[in-house]
Amino acid sequence: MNYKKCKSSKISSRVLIVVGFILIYSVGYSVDLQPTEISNLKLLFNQSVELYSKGEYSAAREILEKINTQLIQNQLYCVGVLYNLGNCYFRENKLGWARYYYELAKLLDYHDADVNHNLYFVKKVSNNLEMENVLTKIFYFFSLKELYIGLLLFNIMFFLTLIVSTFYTTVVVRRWRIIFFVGFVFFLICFIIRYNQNLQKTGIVVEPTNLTSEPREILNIKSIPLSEARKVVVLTQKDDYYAIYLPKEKIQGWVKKDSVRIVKL
Amino acid sequence: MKKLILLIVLILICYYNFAEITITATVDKNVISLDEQINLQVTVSGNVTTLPNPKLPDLSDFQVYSSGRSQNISIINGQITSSIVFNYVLSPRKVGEFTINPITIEYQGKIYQTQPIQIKVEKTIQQKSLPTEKDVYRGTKKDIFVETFVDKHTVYVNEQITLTFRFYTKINLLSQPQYSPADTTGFVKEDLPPQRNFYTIINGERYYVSEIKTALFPVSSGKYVIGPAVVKCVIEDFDIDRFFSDSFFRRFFSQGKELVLKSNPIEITVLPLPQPQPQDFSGSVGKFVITSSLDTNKLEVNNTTMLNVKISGLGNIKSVSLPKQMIQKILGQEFVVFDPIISYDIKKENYKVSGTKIIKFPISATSPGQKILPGIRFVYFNPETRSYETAVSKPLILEVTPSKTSLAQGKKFSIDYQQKKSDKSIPFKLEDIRYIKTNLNIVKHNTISTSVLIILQILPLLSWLSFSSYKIYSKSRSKDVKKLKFVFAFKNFKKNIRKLKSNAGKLEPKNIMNSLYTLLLEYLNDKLSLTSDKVTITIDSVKEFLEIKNVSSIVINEFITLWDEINFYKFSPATVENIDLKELITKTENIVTKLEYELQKM
Repeated sequence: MNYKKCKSSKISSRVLIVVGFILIYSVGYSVDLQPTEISNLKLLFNQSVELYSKGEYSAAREILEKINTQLIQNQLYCVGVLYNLGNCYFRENKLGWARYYYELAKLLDYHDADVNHNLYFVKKVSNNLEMENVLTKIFYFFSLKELYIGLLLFNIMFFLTLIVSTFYTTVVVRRWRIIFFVGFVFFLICFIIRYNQNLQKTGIVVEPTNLTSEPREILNIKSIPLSEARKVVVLTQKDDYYAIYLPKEKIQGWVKKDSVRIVKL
Repeated sequence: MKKLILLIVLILICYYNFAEITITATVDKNVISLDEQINLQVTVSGNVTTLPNPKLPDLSDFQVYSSGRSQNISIINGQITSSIVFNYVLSPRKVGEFTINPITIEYQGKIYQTQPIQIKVEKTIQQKSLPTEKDVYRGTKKDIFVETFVDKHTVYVNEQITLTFRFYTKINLLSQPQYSPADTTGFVKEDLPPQRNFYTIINGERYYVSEIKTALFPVSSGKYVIGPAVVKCVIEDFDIDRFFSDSFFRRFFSQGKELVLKSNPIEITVLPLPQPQPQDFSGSVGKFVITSSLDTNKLEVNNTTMLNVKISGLGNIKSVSLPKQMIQKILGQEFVVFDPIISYDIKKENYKVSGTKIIKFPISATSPGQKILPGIRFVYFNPETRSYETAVSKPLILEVTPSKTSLAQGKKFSIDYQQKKSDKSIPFKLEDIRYIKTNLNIVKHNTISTSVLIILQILPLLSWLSFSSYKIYSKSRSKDVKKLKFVFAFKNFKKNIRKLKSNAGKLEPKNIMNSLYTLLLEYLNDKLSLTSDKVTITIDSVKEFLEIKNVSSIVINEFITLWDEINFYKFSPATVENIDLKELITKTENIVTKLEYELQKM
């Protein structure tokens, strides 16, 4: 009996280690910057907040862009900076840029209520609101990381119940095995679909532009206007152009790189 | 009394400190050529609602045009911040270095001024990318040429000119022609897709034509020149007149000849808009209609709804503006108007720029009752009728109900959501973006390699598989009892003999001998699998079995000697007292180990 207890505690401690490992890597951790650097950044950030509250949006944005550049150089990110940049651009009526920064902020914090609200609002204002039904709401409820962790947990639990059922086949074990299997399949399907979506490079049209049939300024070119704040799939790039795909219209074309920003941290 | 004077002085200081005004002036470039223009932007900002107009210094070296102004007023936590940007276009009259002296404003007797700006005007710079005259075809070559033309040569400020570029060819091109659009400084440019391709007959010759149209909107009055459009292309390096004199190979290996085609520049006269301009005119030129709507028809006092103003029509829709102050003036003191959210949709049907601009004003009512929002007037200049026209939206009715929450008198609202959230006394119903974040929380975004993620997911499956395999293996093994006994015979023997060794001191010599005999018998029984009846095992059968199994004769002899020895002691207990039992146990263990080794080898 003692031996069994010891074995089960060993297994559970191993599971905990694996889960902990995943959580640590997935959640991210705070970064130790030099105290002077942190205080300088805080000072600049507070300045930008003050300027924003005074209505000096472009000045606030310039400071935030400076902070963001400094953070990126150190491979660091801040939801606050990206979110505030989105707000500044929104106030300057640059909806494309605003959406781009909100999307970046969402990559860092999927469930941030402010980011989600503003992203929804900018999509609504720029007529880029996608129709959402209950299924898509459920599907997009979790972030990709959360789906991965969920999948791993259900995966572990399902196979654990399978292992347990090789020794003890009781009704309770069988019931839990079904529950964990359903959860496992749900998370697996969601994760595979979302992962495939994630493999695609998505971009935001930051400035109104034309979608052209050729990646250069030539004659015999066909083009259609592309409004700002639209989400597009970036397929490839050539010189100063991106090849993009519009999923809604199911068309491909080229746009100048300056007018599209890829949503990637 | 002294305290009262001190208080008054303090109030005055505070008042003057709050009424702080700043003025800045910037130019888009400091070094220009004679045919270029400078955009001068003067920004006046302060925490007052009405800001004075700036006073420009003597700018006789430039032609100065006003290109509009934009105003922004925001009220945050009751504090008003206002800024007006005045835009001017400066066109230099001569070459040289000039200084734009400080631009000043006067407010409550105090003069504010900008820093002087240095401008250098150089001679017209020849663009490096443009080819020299001798390389250029100006539409005289009959095989291939370009041309540009406009629909109007005289227009009003902000009126659309359609610039058409055409590329004519009747010969084969060896590469895609590279197109450099015409220089359109002084105009706001809007591409007019789609590009058109067609055939046309000129002087009995059939040409293939590519046509690109661009809409241009002049920003200020004066005379402008639309520069030449350039096309670079490669044609066959092959002269028809010399066809017969040329060798076949020369023609075959021809690399092609690069041609640079350039259109003629076009002069445009831009007329200023007629004076006097109506009071509410904000610079829009074209033909527009205005409609307005409310997000909700019922509103609580101090809550907010959206007044949606939709201006649509023909013209530069991007430049259409409806200042917040104008809406505030129309709605009156019963409403508070906040900064608008603007979106637009541009259409380019039949090469005419048109579209819709939606301006959403968050408005808040200050008193209850049925309110009639008057029609919103939008004044524009119609270039067709050459007159100012006014579009008016229909009046709207809004039912304002008393507020459920009491508010302090004179409380001002903020457009920012979060501020409303933080102030519990203000109802939280405004449709707008949320307030900025005030915490700087820096994180490192980590990514784990895909292989690690996959391995982690596969681990539970692998562990289940290994458990199952083990179970299947042990199940299958348990089915073959003979084999199982054969495999575990030595293991069991070793286990039991160790136990016997450790208990040797406690047990009687007779019992030890019996146990030793039983152990050996069990081992032989498991190994030989002759029968389950231990008594039937004879020394001959053991010998025969070991010989079959190719066990060396030395080991067989040693084993038989041991077997005889144990049998002897077992059946003559008296002699047991005189022997070293521990040594016998060790000897038995060693011989059985040797035997096991021999059996394992086969």
